[in-house]
Formats: sequence, C-alpha cells, structure tokens
Amino acid sequence: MALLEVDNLSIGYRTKQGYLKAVEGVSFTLDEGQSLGFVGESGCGKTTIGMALMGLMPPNGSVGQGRILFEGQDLLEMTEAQRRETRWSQIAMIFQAAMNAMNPVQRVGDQIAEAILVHNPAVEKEAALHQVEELFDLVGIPRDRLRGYPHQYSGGMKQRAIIAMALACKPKLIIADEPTTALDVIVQDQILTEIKELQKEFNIGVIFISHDISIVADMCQDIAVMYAGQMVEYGPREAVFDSPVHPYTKALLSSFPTITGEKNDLIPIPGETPNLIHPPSGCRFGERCPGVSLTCSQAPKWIQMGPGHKALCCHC
Amino acid sequence: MDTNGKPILEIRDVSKIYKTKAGLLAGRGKDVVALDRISLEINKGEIFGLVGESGSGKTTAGRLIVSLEETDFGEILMDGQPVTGLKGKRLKKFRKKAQMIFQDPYQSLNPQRSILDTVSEPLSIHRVGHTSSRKDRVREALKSVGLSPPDDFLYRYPHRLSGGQRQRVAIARAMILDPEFVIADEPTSMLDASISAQIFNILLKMRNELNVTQLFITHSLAAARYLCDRIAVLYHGRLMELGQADQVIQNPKHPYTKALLDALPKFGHSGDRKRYGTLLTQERKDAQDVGCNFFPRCSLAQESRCNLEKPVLEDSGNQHLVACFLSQL
Amino acid sequence: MTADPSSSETSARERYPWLNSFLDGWAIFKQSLLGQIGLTLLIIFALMAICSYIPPLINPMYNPMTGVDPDISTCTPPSWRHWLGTDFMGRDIFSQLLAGARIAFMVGVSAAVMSVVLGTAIGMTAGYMGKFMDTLLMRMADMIMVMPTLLFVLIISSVFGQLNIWTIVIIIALFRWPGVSRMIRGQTLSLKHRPFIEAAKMAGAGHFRIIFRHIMPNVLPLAFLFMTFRVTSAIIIEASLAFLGFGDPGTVSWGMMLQWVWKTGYMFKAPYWLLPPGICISLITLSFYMLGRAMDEVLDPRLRKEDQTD
Repeated sequence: MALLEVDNLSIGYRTKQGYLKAVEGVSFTLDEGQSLGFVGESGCGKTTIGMALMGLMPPNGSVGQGRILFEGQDLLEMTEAQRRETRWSQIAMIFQAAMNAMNPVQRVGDQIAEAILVHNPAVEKEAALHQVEELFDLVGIPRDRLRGYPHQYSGGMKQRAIIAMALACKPKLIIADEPTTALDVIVQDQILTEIKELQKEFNIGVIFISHDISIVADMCQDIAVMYAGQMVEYGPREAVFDSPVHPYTKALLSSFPTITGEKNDLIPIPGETPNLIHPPSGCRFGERCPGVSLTCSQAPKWIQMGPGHKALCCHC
Repeated sequence: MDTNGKPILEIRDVSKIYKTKAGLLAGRGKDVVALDRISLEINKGEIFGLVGESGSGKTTAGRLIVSLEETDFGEILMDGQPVTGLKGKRLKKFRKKAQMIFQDPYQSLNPQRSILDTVSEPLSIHRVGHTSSRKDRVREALKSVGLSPPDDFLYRYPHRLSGGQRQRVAIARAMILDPEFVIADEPTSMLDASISAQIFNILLKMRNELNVTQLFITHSLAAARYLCDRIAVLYHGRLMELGQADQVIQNPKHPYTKALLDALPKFGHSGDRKRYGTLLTQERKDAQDVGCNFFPRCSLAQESRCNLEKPVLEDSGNQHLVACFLSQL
Repeated sequence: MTADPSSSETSARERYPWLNSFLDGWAIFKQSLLGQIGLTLLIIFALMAICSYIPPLINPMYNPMTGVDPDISTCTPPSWRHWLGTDFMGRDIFSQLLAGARIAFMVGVSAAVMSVVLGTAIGMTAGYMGKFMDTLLMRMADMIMVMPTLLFVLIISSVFGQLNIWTIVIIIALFRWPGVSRMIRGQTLSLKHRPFIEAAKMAGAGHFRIIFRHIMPNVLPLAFLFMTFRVTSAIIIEASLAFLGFGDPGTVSWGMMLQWVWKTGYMFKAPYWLLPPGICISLITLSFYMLGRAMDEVLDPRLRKEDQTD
C-alpha cells in the first residue's frame, strides 16, 4: 500500500470575484521513503496542495472533489480531532519562510518540546527536552543552543530548528515548502543535504515544493511540474529533466541561467498566467505555448512518454 | 560588445563601518565592517557583476556608489568626479547620471501614487519638459520595458500589478532621465524564474541599445554568468576574486569561489553528499581578525600565512585577479 | 483588470487629477456598509444642526436659551407644541437638541482638526529629522500626554471662571495632539527607510518633497482615522465639561442639557429630557467612528475589498 495516494484532487478559494480554482484534478502516489518534487511558479497551486495535505486550508478554501489517502485512510473524511492527531505525528511540514514561524518570546528548545508533548502527553517535560537535544544533534545545532531564543539564531540555524521540529514526532511524511528560500547558497546546500540524509536514515516520505527546478531535481526521485493549478508533466527526475515533453517544462527549464555548458539565450515565456477564476477551457498553457494549435482548445489528455513519465498535452 | 575601455567608475580603497551604539545593558557594541578597502574599476558600456552572499557588503557597495550613504574611508569617482560628499545641487545633478533599481518591487513603488506619477517624478523634480511631454516620455519608457499598451498602466496603482510588472516600472523610472550608470541590486531575487528572464533581457537591451553601464549585484553566479562581462566575488566585505565572468566561473582560483560553485545543485545529478574541494565542515576556532576573512572555513588555508595577514588582489594572469596567498604559489 | 471609462470621463479625470482621486474614493466609500450608516447618521445630525436656526424664527418661544412659553414655566412632557416637551424653565427641548447638534459639530470637528494638524506636523518632523529634534518634541509630547486633560481644563476654568466655547476648543486641541504625534512619528519612522523613499531620493527629491509628497500621503490615512476618534473625544470632553458645570453658559450643548436635567432634579422624572441628549452623544460618536472605518478603506488602496482574495 502506498504511503500517500492523491486521487483527482481539486481545491478552490472563495473570493470576492468568484471561485478561484487553485488546484484541478491532481493525482499522484508516494511510497514510503520516496521523494517527490513539485515545481512551478507563483500561483501554480503547489503550496495549496501542501496545505491541503496538512489539513491547513484557510477559511475560504475548500476541497471541491477528490481523495487524499494516507496509509489507506481518506484525510478529507476525517474529523478535525482525527486530523489533529495525524498532523505532526504522522505528517509534518516545513513551511515557507519558516524562519519567522517561531514564537519570538519562547525558547527554541521549549517550542520543539511542546510539539512533542502535544502529541505524547504521557511524556515528561524532561524527557521531551532530552529528545530535543538528540534532534539537535541530528540536524547539526550545538546542544548549548537549546535555551536560546529565535532572534539569537542565524538564518540557517533557524531553518535547522524548524526541521528538528518537523522531525520531533517521527512522522512518516514530511512536506517541505520552499525550505531554503532566503538562505545563502552554501547554507542552502547544507540544509538540503541534511534533509536528504535524514530522509534516508528514517525512511521518511518527502514532498518537496519549490520554484527552483535545479533544487527539486537534486532532491527528488520524481518530479511533478505544475502550471495554473494543473499537473502538466510527471516523471522520474532524469526523464523530466533531460527529456522534458511539455512545452511549459521546456520553457521553464530554459528560463534558468546555467553555470556550465553552453550559454544559451534565456527565453522568457510571453504573456501572463491565466485567470484561475475563469480559466480557459482546453489547455491552460495554450495562450503562451509556442506550438499552440486548434486541438489545444479541447481539454488535454495524459500522454504516456515512457515508464512512469507522462505529460498533459494535446499534441506532444 | 561596445566597451569604450575607459573606466566610468573608480572605487579606491573604500571602507564602510557600521558602529553599533553601546547601550545601557548591552555594553560596548562591536563595529561591523561592511566593506574593507575595496578597489575596482568599471568600464563604460560593461555589465559588471558583484557576487556575494548575505553579509558580504554587496548592497552597501551599491548604496555608496549612488551616494545613498557616505563612505568612511576611500573615494569613489564617476567620470573622474568624486561622488563622495556630494550635496545639494551637485548631488541632484549626479542623480541624473547614476540610478538604482531596488531589490524589492513590492516596496520600491509608493503605494499611494499611480504609475504615471511614480515614473514621471524624476522628470518633474529635474524640471524636464511639461505635463503633456512628460506623459509622452512615460509612455515611451513603459513601452521600452515591455508594458504595452502603456495607457493601460498609467493610472493604475502598484498593488494592481504583478511583481514582474512592478519591477519593470522601477526600471522605467530609473531609465527615464537617461542615466549613464545603473545599479541593479538583486532585481530578480523576489521574482519567479520566467519573469526574471524577462528582466535580465531588459537589462541586456539597456546595455546593447543605450550603452548604459551597469553594476549587477547578485548572489547567483549563474545569473552573473548570463548577464555580466566581468564579475567580482565579495566575501565579508573584501574582494576575493575579480575577472572576466567566464574565466572566474570556468576557472575559479579563490577557495571561496570554488566553494560557491561546489554548493550549487547540479542539474539532475543525484544525491551523494557533495564533495567540497575547499570548504571545511566545521569552522576553525582560532581565527584572528588580522587574518584572511575566509580562513575559518578554508580547507586549504595555512596557519602560517593565512591567519596572520589579509591577502590583496593580485593579477594571476589575463586580468584575472585573486586575493589568496595559495593561488600565487 | 483595467476599467474601461468612456472617453469623456477619461478626459475629465485627466484634466483634474484631484477629481480622479475623489471619484475613485467615492465609489469605494459607497460600497462600505459602515460608511453608509455613518454618513447617513452624520447627515441627519448635520441637518439637525442646520435646522437649529429654524425654530426661533417660527416663534421666539422656541429659542433654546431664552425662549419662554407664556403658558408653560416648568418641565412638561412632549406635546404638539413642544415635540420633546419643555425643561424646567419652560424652554423647548427639541430646539435645544438641534442647537446642541450645532455645537457638537463645531466643537468636535474644530478641536479634532486642530489637534490632528498639529500632531501630524510635529510627528512627521520628529520622525523625519530624528536625533535632537525628535527627542525634544517627543519629550514635550510625553509631558503633555501625562497631564489629565479634563482635570487641567477644570483647573483653568476654576481659575479663570467660565470659559468661552472657542477657548475650550483650543485647549482640547493643545492637550490632545501628543497621542496623534506619537502614532504619526512611528509611521514616519517606518516609512523613512522604505525603498520607495530611497527611490525618491534617487530621483533627486529634496527633504520637503519627500515629506509632503511621499510621507504625508502615506501618513494621512492614519491621521484621518485619528481625526474621527478625536472628534468623538472632543465631543465627550465638551459634554463632560458642560455636565460638570464648566461649559460655556451662553451655549446650549447636549452636555449642558444633561447638566440641567441633573441639577434640577428631573433626571429620573423626565426621560424625554434626559434621553435625547444622551442618545445623541452616543450616536454621533458612533457615526464618526464608522466614517473613520470606511475612510480607512478609501485612503489605503491596499485595503480595498474589490482587490482582496478573501
């Protein structure tokens, strides 16, 4: 049985101008210990998926249809109490801008211990703090920082503390949403390596969300490319990276400047992302696609390109 | 590439120190050396990249050049005229020559003013033209940064524009007085990749069509490689390496530059722990202030020299300058 | 997402940029429920104030201060002749209520405008100049802020006797600017270092231009908001003074009415005399508050409901 199975998930937000279809018809599976990356630009829906998995949708957000099966159980059918049980102890999240997610007036060690205590009320505070010390060893924070406050931590250290908090209850699945934005390159690399090692050591499933395709390719075995709320390409890292099929994936890859290899012209994608309150029928990338044709006005279908590699396109 | 070869900007031995005030409970504050005796020259028509991480001093350098802050030591000359210490009318004249594009497009436009007001402000401050001719100039400027048709944007307020559009407005504003020199301070760090690509191409257009000299401040070596002719690597306020962009990136000579390149995620190549050629996993504890800034993290460093003296930039051949004792061996 | 105005509207807006902002603002204001209620109430009170001149013209006995009904010389309940009845001297309560509206507006708005103008100017100066000027102005503000306004006015009244209404207004203004200046100074400080201010410096803007064109417009929403609160506090201070007997005896304000009903012992005997001024004081302060909330949306483009996604 897969650890996580998402089936035809659609999520939207009620806004003053109408219902914004943020995520449409997304399906994927994740096995234990496997890593899957979601790549896309702002507004593509990747963060919304992460929030939905955690059950942390804002009040105006709602799941239109679909199922989220975690170890066989549908998260969407759970009561709030059951969801709170699962949250953190089974599924944990490293939030975007997590560095500012810590309570500035509480000691870091205490905050992490609190996460442990909430899910294991039987544990004593002393024992919890001891666990935090071990977590600090794991993520590379010196033990003497246990009693420090967030403002005394550097950016990289705060991020490590957040990772420690995510691991505190030994979850089976971690969702990392842009965990290294705003960190310097060297620190970023160190943090990403930590995550990879911890994932291997504890056999944790990881869903990695980022706008930076090179990080995702480095971190994850499989990549899902998101555009305007839909998954447009999915496959193993090598396939999506080295032989992308969907025009958006190709365009995305060619908008990143490279360090090695040929210095090609960066080709920006013309136009703007579509309005998700009234999305175009047919292919959502059609207006901006260099290869657009008449067939693109119909809803695109999944085309299988190779083992596990598929793209949502009308004419690929 | 049409570089006239002559330096338009000269930075000589510039230092900037931020003093922290001693507080009642805090005790004596420690001074932060943001820039430590930086010297470099930027030639007319080139795009020069200043690469560094947070705390490197790169943003401070930019602010000193456009006279938003004063240097503590050294001097900065543009077209042979000193920039430091400019006040009043002379400062205003200088503003027509050197402009800046700020990092955060969400904060660099006044939310209470329309796009027309914001972009035409430099014109009205310098009393260029009159109301209708200014509006035409604004239209031209908006068209040249790709905001077309310009009339759609004139009366809008910033919060109705996307990040990429706002940054283009910021570029239009910076360019409206036809400056010779523009500093772009991490102009794309808050934008998505495909939008960043649009901005990069606008910067290239500015150089190619209008011969505007640019200083591109960034933390991304890849972006610097794409845009810049020459780059300089800054670490904790000191220049570590300087040279042709391709040279520095293909053939890095300074251990810090090598570490930066080692740290980059390698496209598609997986996951064993990266091999760092020059970076220590744990910092050295015995570093002294008088030694090389990179000493605490450098795996090649030698106690005997690197911890006792700060190396200066020296030519290692081909105008490729490095500040490292070991590279001169 | 651009509106598509007809060409004649566009040219009018272009010719008069202030008209453009005003029309935009009005469109937004109209949509706010609070603004509508507040404005309606205020219009009612304004009408009351304007109509306060009418009753004495109809018949001198309706004059709020001096009107004497030849047949009535004591407190009576509402009747056709006197819609809210009469006070202990036989004066018409309804015309007193209308006159009170006039005083409330005068006092409230003048005192508020004065204190806010003063407080904004001082706050911006302190925030922008910093250092010595900042310290000086803020210490002054601190000293004034800790003084209890009402107490001081009472002391001044007892020393100088009964005060003229305009003197009261000026004193209120002088005592109430520190609160405004603190907020404005804080706002100025946070704005001073924002990139768009630096961008203005880069464009060559001098200090004055930065303060008046960039900082002030961003600070005005807060100032306006404060003004609405100041109005309410000014009205309440004046009412309290009048109630305690320190008001201007030549004017009829709602507070004065309350003082009379209390002093003459009719407080529990004449609800038609007690309730109207009390309700009016509450309602007018509420309506100014609602107005302030609605104006908040107008003045800050980012708060506009049309653009919010939730």
